[in-house]
Amino acid sequence: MHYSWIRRAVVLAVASALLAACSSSQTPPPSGSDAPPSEAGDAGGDAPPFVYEVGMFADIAAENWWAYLDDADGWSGFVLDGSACQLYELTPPTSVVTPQLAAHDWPQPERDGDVWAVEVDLAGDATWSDGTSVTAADMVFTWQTVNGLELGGQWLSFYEPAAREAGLVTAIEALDETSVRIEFADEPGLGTWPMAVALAPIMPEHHWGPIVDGAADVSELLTTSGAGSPVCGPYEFVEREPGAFVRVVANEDWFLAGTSYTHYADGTVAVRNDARSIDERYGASSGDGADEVVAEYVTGPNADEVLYTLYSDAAVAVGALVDGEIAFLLTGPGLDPAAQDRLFDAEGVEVVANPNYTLQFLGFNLERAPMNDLAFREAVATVIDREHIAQTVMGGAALPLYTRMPSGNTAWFDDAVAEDITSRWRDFPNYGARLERAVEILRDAGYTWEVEPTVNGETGDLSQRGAGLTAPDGTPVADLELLHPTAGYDALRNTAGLFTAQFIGDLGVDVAATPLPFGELVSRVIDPSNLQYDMAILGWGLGNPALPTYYDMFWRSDAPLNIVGYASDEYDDAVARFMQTRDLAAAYDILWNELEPILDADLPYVPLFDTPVVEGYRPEEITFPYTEVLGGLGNQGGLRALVLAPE
Amino acid sequence: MWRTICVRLVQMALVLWLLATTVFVVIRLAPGDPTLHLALDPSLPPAARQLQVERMGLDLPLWGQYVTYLGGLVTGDLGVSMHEYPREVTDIIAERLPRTVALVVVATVAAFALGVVVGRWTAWRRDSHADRTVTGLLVFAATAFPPWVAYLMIWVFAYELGWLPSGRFLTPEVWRDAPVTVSSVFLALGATAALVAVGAVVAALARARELATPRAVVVISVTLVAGVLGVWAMHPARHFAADLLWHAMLPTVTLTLLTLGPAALLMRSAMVTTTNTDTVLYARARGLGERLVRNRHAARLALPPVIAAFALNLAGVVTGSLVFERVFSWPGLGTTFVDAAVAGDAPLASGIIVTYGVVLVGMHLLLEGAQWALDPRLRTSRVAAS
Repeated sequence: MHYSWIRRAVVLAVASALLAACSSSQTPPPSGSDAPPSEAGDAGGDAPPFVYEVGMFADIAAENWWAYLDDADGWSGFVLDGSACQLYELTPPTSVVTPQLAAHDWPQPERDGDVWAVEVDLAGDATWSDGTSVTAADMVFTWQTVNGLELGGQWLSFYEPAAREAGLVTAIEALDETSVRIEFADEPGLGTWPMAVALAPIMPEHHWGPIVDGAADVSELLTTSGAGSPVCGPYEFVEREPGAFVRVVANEDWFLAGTSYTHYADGTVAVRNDARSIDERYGASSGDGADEVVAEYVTGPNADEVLYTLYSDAAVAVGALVDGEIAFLLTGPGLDPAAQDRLFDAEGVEVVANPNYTLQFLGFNLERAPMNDLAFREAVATVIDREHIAQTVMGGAALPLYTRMPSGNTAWFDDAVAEDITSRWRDFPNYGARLERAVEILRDAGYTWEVEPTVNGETGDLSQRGAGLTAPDGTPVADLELLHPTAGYDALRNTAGLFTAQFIGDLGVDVAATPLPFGELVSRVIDPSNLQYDMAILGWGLGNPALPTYYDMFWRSDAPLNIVGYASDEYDDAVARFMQTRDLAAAYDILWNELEPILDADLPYVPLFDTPVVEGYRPEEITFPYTEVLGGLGNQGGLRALVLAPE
Repeated sequence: MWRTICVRLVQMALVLWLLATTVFVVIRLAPGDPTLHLALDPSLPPAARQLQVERMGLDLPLWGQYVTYLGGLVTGDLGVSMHEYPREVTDIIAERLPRTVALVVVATVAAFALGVVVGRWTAWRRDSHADRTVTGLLVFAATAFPPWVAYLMIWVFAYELGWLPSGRFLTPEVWRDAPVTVSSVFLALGATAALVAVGAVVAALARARELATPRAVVVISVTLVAGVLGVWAMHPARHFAADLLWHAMLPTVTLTLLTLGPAALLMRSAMVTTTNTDTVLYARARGLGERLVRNRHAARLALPPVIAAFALNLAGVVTGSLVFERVFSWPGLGTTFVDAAVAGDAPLASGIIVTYGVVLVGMHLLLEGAQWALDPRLRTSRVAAS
């Protein structure tokens, strides 16, 4: 009796709860693949919108453009990039400069009294997503806000590249609603105009003006959510749940929607938009391949919204792509080989591999012996078998690199000169020949050994490791330390460190390969005034592919990122001309006729390898107009303005 | 009594100061630099990094940074996150803490509630086949490597069977344009759980003191649960709550299983020592049934160490969430701490550790207070000693 009472009460309670649950449905049902089973039955209604589902495995740190560029956070960039507009843009995949807000191709700066100036006309038909016109005043407002609130990070690279440029933006003023004047303190090189200020994003004054005026300090502006801010790009940031997801929706009134771009092999781009009466071809033609189409597309936005789902790590995110939970995965710093293999093995996932724009290298501290001796560096560069490391040891996960310009940047890569440089270091019949050449270089420079390295003449293999290398002045070469990242941080550079130490050790020098946590490694290497290492294996992201200004940042004598202590008057002179020229063709000639040959002769770095970017997407969910692009699809934000639903 | 309270508070402050100082020294002296990413970008001028260094106060000498840090702690200001600059650390912790607490409290309460039942059951069947089997499983649960168990659960229930989700803590499609925030739903769920828990305690007390008949207790309890379910079923946020519960199921069950082992073993060993006490002997001599002797008398004597372990476990599991949350993609305090540590975000990492410290010290203080209030021997000895 007692228990039947309880049973009845429990049944009544459960029944009442179920009845109540079934009786009301005020909230839209979920459509996710892992939604609660009890909710799945609510689905129905209109045709579903085209939602481009993208996965990422790090949360964004900024919710508005001011904050994103202030601290240069890459993951925020994936979400926010493309929601702003600018005078000109680097049009993917060839990164040719084409007008965005500007009415015409970029004009050359002219001297005007004590300053240099450029005047740009805006097309005048661009509007923010709330219908307000984009005007020259918006650009002036953005510039004044960055200066007034002393924003930093990437904003400085757009407006104040004084440290690396002759030019310095000194003023931006609106001549009228649709024309803007930009002044420079000195004659600007390409790095200043158009590659910096012309690409600076522009913010809507009518939205942010009151917020900026009312902000007590810069923190208040940086922490204000960008949700609801009008945009002049294809997508508008609308929602973020920290640790879970971010959502952007299509700007149906994007002024560049429906524009067709045809990229040609000669480095030019044909842009056509009948509604805007545009039919132009931009970029400097190399003369070859003027009719060969590299990529062709019409801008969207085609997806109604882009939903970025956050996963805790790369392995989980790859699992989500494999399971069909997302259509594309942003890989950020890259996927480890196991994750890449999982993508290759997955059904329904198309894998694309693109060249990266990075440089993994062996750097010498030129302030210490024997690294300050060119003969030693040349012998080291000779004895390192980069083909063996990249192809055999790494199993093809990396591409051997011999020039400081990766071949993936096809617009800037010179096959002929690069082949000359490459053959010098690559073309040995076997390791023995390579070692013998390195020994010869050292012997010619006056080095001696207690035990000279020897090679088996028949097999071409190492027969006897060298020992007791002594410098030309009679000083024994001290034990050296080669710093490199830990395997946990970067397995490829860790492996390269171990093998490089072994190769150098064959020459008769004791080299200790020391893996260090990345932060500690960089802190010992990064300060040019206090270099605390002998040799180090590191890597650089190379920045803007349209103008390789890193030749200036890494190897100019007083450059802030000259982390090897390299100093060459000849190089300084050449790189100064490279940075000051206003002609892309002239810059190209300087790079391949002067900068690369000088660096290849002086060897402050030994380029080691470049790693391809491996990414995956689900073709039954989305299609891309092109998949071959430097740095990968993720580097272009997953091509969200171009992505199409499959037919 | 007041003197003891004052002494404890001073001790607590000293412990927290020591913790805060240790955390500051360890984190600040660790290699790495939160502004490094600005230095490594070849497109950025050096001024960009210098500006960030000055904003974050990293240009101050170490003692200057320490004074600023301690001053902030005293006023409850944990500083500004470097990775999510310039967001307040307290703001981030307030956002992430409820997610951790929700997971940990539910799992710990469930584990100890089950543990008490299982522990007393096995103790009462000591050395039987059932005892040996169950105790073996409990030992396995208590000694298994938690991440391994977590991965095993994900593999079985998410990947192989596909019954439960993993990899994220909500379904974005459900939460698109949600009229409520995740935090508010967590709070509502927490309030519901607290209401049910209070109801259960009141019902248990009423039953123990014979203020209500068994039937009345059952009716009231079932009505309470039905009412709560009914309210939730009609609530506009029910889909969102269901989605959170759905995603929380696998981590909660896993954490419950992992906590169940030690809880049940502790209860079992405590029960074993009580079976031969005079109280239990007397209860049996009075002719009470075995069930009554076990549940009313033996179990009651065994409970104090279990309650102490529960309180400490509640605080301890919060710290244990560091690895656990990561495995389940649960963006609580543990995941946030790991991310902060990897990113070199010193203020956020140290703020989370200090928060953990405050929780641990606070739980110790509460436990001591509870023991003081419940055990007259402690009061007597302390008074005599003072």
